[in-house]
Amino acid sequence: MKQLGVSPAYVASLLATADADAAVAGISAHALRLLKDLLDRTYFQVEGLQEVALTTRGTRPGDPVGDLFFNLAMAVFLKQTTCRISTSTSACWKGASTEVPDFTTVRSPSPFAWFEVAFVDDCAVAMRAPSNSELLMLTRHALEAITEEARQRGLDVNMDEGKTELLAHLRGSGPRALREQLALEGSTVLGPETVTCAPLKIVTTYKHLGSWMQHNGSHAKECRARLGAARQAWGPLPALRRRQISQHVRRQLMEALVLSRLMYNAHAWVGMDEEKLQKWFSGAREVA
Amino acid sequence: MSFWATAYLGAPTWFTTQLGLRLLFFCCVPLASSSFVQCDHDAGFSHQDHLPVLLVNEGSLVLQPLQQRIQWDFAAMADPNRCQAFQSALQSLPVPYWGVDSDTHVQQWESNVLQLAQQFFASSSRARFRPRLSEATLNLIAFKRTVLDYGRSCSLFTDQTFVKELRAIEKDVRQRVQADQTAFFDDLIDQLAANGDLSNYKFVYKLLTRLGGRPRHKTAGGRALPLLRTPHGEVLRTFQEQQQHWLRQFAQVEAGHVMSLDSVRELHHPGLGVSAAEFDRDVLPSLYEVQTQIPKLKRGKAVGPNLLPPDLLKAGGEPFARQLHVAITKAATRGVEPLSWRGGKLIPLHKGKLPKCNPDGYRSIFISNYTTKVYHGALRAHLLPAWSGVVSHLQYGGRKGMAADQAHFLLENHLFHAHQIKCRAAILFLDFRAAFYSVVRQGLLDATPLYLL
Repeated sequence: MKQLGVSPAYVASLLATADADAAVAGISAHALRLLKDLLDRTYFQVEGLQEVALTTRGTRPGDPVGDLFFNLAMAVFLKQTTCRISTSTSACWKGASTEVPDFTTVRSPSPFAWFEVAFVDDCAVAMRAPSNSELLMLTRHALEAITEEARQRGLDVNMDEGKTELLAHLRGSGPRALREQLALEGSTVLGPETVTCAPLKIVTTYKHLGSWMQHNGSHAKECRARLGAARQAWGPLPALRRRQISQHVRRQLMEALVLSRLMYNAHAWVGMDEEKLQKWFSGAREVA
Repeated sequence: MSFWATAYLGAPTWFTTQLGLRLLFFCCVPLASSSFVQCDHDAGFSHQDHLPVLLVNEGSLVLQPLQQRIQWDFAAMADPNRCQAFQSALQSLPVPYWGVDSDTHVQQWESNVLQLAQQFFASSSRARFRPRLSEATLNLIAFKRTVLDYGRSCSLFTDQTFVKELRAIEKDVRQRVQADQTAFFDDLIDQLAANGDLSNYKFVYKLLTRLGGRPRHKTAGGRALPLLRTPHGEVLRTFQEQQQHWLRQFAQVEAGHVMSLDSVRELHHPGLGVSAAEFDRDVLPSLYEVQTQIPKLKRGKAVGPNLLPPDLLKAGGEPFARQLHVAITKAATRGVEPLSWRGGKLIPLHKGKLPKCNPDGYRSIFISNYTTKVYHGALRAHLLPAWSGVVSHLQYGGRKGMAADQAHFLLENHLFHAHQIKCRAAILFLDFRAAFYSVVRQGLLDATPLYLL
């Protein structure tokens, strides 16, 4: 690098671009030209005005290729974030999207590790640590790395309530004292001395991809939310109370409009025992 | 005094020998301004009727063409007979020849399709959508009314036999109406299921609410939004001011430059096209690919700038797909997307948290043309396999079998496992403001060979 006269930051950015190249390596020059052309000279207009705005950022949201372009940007973003976190912590990264070679052998996960999960623009960093202080330290490193990488890509981390939050499961020795200390600081991990971003709020529940998650792995809140959504879907349909609508039609509408809400992501619930399931079923019967 | 009496001087200004006509030209110049006609002009070196006029321009007014909102009959777009007639008309629609550039081609063709579609699917009146009764039931209702009229005119309501007969007819009418309505709802649900709209809660809710009679509080009309205020507290009073504010606000998010559409046209250069060396025939979308993209469009969505709804693309069938395929092939062959396909409408939408008078509480929704979406959908097929083959992280979405529930399931398992083994665990959830609108896209597809390092 000294011989070339380039800084490590420049090399990192060049590598990031090279990664993006690797992502599009299998495309012909003609297709690549057409795809590049899609991101050039785009504009939008507002009703009632002659003027338009020629845009220079964004990936054409709402377009069939918009999410794919964003995924490309996110792929580089995640790689760079992982590199940045790994340089500042001894925790190991377990987020490779490799296939599981053997399902017969079970390996216990590393006690101090992290991995990233992204669904287009919804990103989450899952962490595990042997102590609470190490967990919070890893969180700080992750947030700082993400904030910095996002800034370089024109993205702004939204620190508002219900947006960027930490769902923490603190336990072990001294959690009470730690919780008291966090409560005094307004349940935040990053205090005012951190200049990179606003304080991060610690929560016990978070709505992720339309489903509630609880810090202890329970699904009580999600079950209540599903029942509420199902009731809301069935209640305001006045035509369904008419005698003219047959049972066949009601059943079809029930399946399409109500059960879809009642069962949303129910297959992803983990560790639901018989008692909790019965409770949920009884609520579902009331809806019907 | 008439105009002719004051303005006509007696002699014509032009005489055509071929047609034998005497022509008289008038030039109206406002006297109040400093414009004038130089009447003492020496016409020895030019035509005798050519007089120089000096016009002083004190301003200009750009008149915006009145864009009338088209009211579509979406039920007609699902009617097979009407669609067949539209497709027959489309087959005789002239398509611009290959020499015409992509921009003109798309503009002319979309305009022609829109005009043609209005002849088949435009609706002038808002007809009420009610359950339809069979002809036999309608005849029976008419018969009952006749019997009632007869009874009134002959004062037969005291006659027990007549009343008994009338009640029997009314009972029969009720049963038939109920049977017809049950059959109507059965057909409606089957039709919704066939179109894939049964799980569209908003659509089904609107449809059934309309059939069941709208509640009184909803028929009173919507409430007007409060006046918007700028961050400095100024009230935006006119529609133009409000739209200008939206334009600037959303342009700031996307790092946009506000300019006229003519300036954008000047920036839009078609280039030299794709060279013979890089031309790849496989990149050109086939007719089959275009035809498979159109059914993926959802019905009942808002129209883009070209005013063609997705229902119309579906109603056009094969003739429409063929004509669109020509436009797409031309754009892909020349390597430049038409300018009208690069744009879209931006609609503000309240996020529901901040007060409605605060513009910061609104986000934007981008609506592009559906013809554009078909083109981009065909191109997506080239980008997807190449990208998905080299993903190194746990990235979900955009790929088959990588849905949102899997990402959620993974994180649920992480917490549950930590709870089971009594381990300290946490998940840092992140949200980016207007991520799709603000991400830097420069260099996203640029080539930087690794050997340069």
